[in-house]
Amino acid sequence: MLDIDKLPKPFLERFSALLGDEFDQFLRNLAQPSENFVRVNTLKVPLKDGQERLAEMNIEAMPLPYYPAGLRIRRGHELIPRTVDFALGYFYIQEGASMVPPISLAPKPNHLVLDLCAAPGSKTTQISQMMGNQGAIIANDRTFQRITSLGHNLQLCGVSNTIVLHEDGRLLPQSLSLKFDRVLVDAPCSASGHLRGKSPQFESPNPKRLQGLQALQKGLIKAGFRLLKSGGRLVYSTCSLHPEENEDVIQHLLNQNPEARLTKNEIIGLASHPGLIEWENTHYNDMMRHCLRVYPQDNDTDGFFIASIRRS
Amino acid sequence: MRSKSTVNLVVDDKWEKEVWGLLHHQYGVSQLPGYRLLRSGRKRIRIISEEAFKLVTQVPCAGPAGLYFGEYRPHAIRPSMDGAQLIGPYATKGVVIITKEQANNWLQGQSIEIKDDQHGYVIVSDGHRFLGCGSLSKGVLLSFVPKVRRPNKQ
Ligand SMILES: C[S@@+](CC[C@H](N)C(=O)[O-])C[C@H]1O[C@@H](n2cnc3c(N)ncnc32)[C@H](O)[C@@H]1O
Repeated sequence: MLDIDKLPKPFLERFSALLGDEFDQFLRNLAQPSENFVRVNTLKVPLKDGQERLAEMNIEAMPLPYYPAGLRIRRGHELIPRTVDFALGYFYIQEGASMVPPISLAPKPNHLVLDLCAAPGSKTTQISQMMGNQGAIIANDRTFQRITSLGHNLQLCGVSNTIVLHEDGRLLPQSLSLKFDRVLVDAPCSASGHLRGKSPQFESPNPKRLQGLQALQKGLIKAGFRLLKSGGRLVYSTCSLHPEENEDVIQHLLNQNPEARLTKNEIIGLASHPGLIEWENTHYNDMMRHCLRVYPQDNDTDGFFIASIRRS
Repeated sequence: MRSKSTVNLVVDDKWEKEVWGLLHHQYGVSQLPGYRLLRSGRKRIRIISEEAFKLVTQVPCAGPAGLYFGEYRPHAIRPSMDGAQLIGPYATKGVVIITKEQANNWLQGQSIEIKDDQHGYVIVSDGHRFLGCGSLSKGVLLSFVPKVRRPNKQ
């Protein structure tokens, strides 16, 4: 469990500035053990049957208000990986906030979707489930070892509408002549939103590291946007709450691409905060408020940032 | 960058027809609408949704595409665990039903004895779910459940 007394001062100062009145609530939330979630894999089992199976095994599960196939496990989560149903791919363990970016993406069964940073495939498998295994997904990742887990998870979940690529996402516009209806850029990040259940020595925001990540994130979102059809939607997400990895990256894309528009991103049943308009003397585009900052205390999940962008 | 994960995927209409023919013969399933088959290497069969199938030849350095469906053995198809789950609901033959207790052992990779005089690759069910594929001969059902897919007992 995270010992909040041992959190570094710069981290506390930053989150206090970000959260204002809610800072205490945020800290109290971080001190709790992490919550447990699964997604019912409706490619293999109907939602109702999945819920009934868990109940039969005495596992207490509550549907997430913003995504009924996502379940918060109140009791018996440790039993799930031992079940036959799990081995068959009926359930997929996925953090509750990590289910949000595919909801924003809203893929349709006839869509062509690009998941630029896909491994280990939590969101790819969810997107495929939302598409009913129809249409097509190109799932790309640069890291070979993670591609192996991506392949395993796609297989386990019974995903048949996906082609896996192993490229640096920033270079994909050079090798792909396709344009996509939906692009997900679930970027590599510092994971600063993923704090609960962590060791107490959580590192302070490290400006050099954030700079390096930001350069990569800007390169990835730029490539993703180049591959988006006009009228299509790109979702950029991170499990970080640092503005350098989020609003800064979105602002960079908006500055470079007049046809990029931030769009409203309301998800019924999901509590969230708007994206920042200002941070440390930087003023962002007013539309940045359409982004979602999901703080741990909002829905009792990890923290996440999600932006939805349309190519006009 | 060409990746190590790149697999040799072949689109082959004649071969695909042959595979469906064998699936019809073994399980009574002659086609799954919306799906196509790809050959991967010499024997491996992958199943892929129609729209994704159209992209296979357009996408450079494609890695694994679709789902590993099974193997083309001489004169028979041996479905993978997920391939068996996919065709199980449509199968009109080549299915064996085992008890829950037998299923627990079989899923751990153990052979089990059953009273069934079918022979060859069969789809295994516990009456509620399709569990995978086994090889049945003289009442002994071998298990092909890969180690990574066996329910974790601890
Ligand atoms: C946050 S994780 C993605 C998680 C994944 N979307 C999921 O839901 O399971 C970020 C991924 O980006 C990949 N990555 C890092 N640099 C990349 C690059 N230049 N191009 C493509 N992928 C990259 C990493 O290997 C990592 O798997």
